Amino acid sequence: MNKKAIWILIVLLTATVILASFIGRYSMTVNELLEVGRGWLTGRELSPREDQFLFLFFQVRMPRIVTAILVGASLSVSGTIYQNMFLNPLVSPGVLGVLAGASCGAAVGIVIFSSWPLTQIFSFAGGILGVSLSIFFSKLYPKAPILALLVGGLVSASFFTAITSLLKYVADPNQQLPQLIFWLMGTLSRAENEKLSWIGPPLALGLIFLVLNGKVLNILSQGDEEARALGIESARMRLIFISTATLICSLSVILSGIINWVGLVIPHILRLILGPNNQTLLPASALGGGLFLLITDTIVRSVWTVEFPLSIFTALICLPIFSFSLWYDWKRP
Amino acid sequence: MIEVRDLSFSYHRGGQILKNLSVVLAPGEVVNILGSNGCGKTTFLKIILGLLPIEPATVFINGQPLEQFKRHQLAHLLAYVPQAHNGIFNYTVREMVLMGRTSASPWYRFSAEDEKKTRTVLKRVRLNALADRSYLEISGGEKQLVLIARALVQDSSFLIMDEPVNGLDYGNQFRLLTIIRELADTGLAIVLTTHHPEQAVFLGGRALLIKNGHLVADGPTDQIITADAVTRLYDLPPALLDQTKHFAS
Repeated sequence: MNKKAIWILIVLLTATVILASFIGRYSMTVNELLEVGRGWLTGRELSPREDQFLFLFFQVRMPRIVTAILVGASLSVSGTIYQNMFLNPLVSPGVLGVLAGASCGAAVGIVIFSSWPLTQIFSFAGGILGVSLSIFFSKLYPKAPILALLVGGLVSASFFTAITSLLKYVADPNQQLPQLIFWLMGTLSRAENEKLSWIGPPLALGLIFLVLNGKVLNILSQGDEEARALGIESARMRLIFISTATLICSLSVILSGIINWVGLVIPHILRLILGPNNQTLLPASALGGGLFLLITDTIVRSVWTVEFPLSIFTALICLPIFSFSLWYDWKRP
Repeated sequence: MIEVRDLSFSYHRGGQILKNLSVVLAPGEVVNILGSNGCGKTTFLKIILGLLPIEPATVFINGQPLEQFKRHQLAHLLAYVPQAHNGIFNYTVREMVLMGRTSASPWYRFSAEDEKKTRTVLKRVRLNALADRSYLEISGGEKQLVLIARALVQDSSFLIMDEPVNGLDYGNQFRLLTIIRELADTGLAIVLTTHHPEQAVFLGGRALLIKNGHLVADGPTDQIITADAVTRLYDLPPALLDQTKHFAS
């Protein structure tokens, strides 16, 4: 069943990638693509429309599709990691203050420096600062480290949210505020090959590392003492897992801004269907998260002629699914 | 062999739990550790498992100081059965037991050998019929057997159990003790804490009596668990002495 589920997800993702490549406001047909490909291979001079087609396919649509998959996968996988780390199936990347820190960093970049590269750098730094602050707060109460880390995450998130609110208040309502709002609500409209080329590889490496370590994550979900008795250096492994999950989360924020709910709902639903074994759940989360975000983005960009922030739709879709899954989990024997 | 030399231990900002304790635990023996609540039994187990920080060169495993072992090396020598496992995620019984093979199986998947060992151990503790059931949905006695099975697949020479029958009904307590005795008969060393002297007598072997952090008695269970020793160990009033008459006097 579990292996089958992974294969089903791979097939669905592949099919969605193919579909998403051809649909959108500028639609293409498979024949057109084959014709352009043949022309390009034989060295025939391409018509302006074919040039435009190539540009659209490789410079706009493909980076957007790859970004959707990477962002969805990283949010979902990091959600799975946090849920296991904190022994709580209802936590998400937001819990450690990662998203709040990254949002705040982006707000500083947009409002104070009005610089796109600085916005990206500050966003990444904000995510790291968010988790560092959570860990710092947790160290103030070493008696109950897991609980203290959760409270530390809450404090850290509140702190960064307060600063972001202040920046929203002082932002130029015509120039900066719409840009900031767009960033805070997530979008894939800024996906581009150049950004993908330097963020994609570390993000993909982090994802692969986490996906291949489901066995160790299972042990860590047994609690510190049992994990150590079972032969795992739990403190070190916990740090590695949390740092890697935070890294891929922050990188995803640079690619797409803040996209909520994916990191909570996708692992939760998949755990209900496939069970908690992280050897299956982690690859399924990566595939499922990528698939979910790609489908959502493809629908949103195809239906409306203007770009809508993606978090609106992820929330609208995820909320009923999440409520149903909670009810289902409660009701099942 | 586990050797403890002049061990003292206190928790952060707490009083001293163990005081100058020295003991040798040999391979193949059953060691029952008894004492009242808070006397340091569980602390002692956690120390020999390397779960608590101690002074260097106070605990030795096969002649080597405990602090020199890496966690995965210790997992090959000592397997731990906690008092209870209150999991959040509903792993199946088979998945729970397979976790015991993690330190022996470094690759990201478990091998066919790991799977085979898991099946064998599940059969040995009579849980094979429950292999695909959720751990969270089985009874307390079955849960404890799962934790024992998880420890057994580690293939270690010592099985260290913290009050293994705690919270079980009377029948399940003895069913579990019977399995523990069968395991001991195979030559596996078993070190366990218990609140029930009669269960220590049932298991036989050796007993360590700990009172206020001191090792007050150490010897064959049937010789040192006496009515007098039990009343003194638990500070029972003389009027209750009769209650302990089923122990040798």
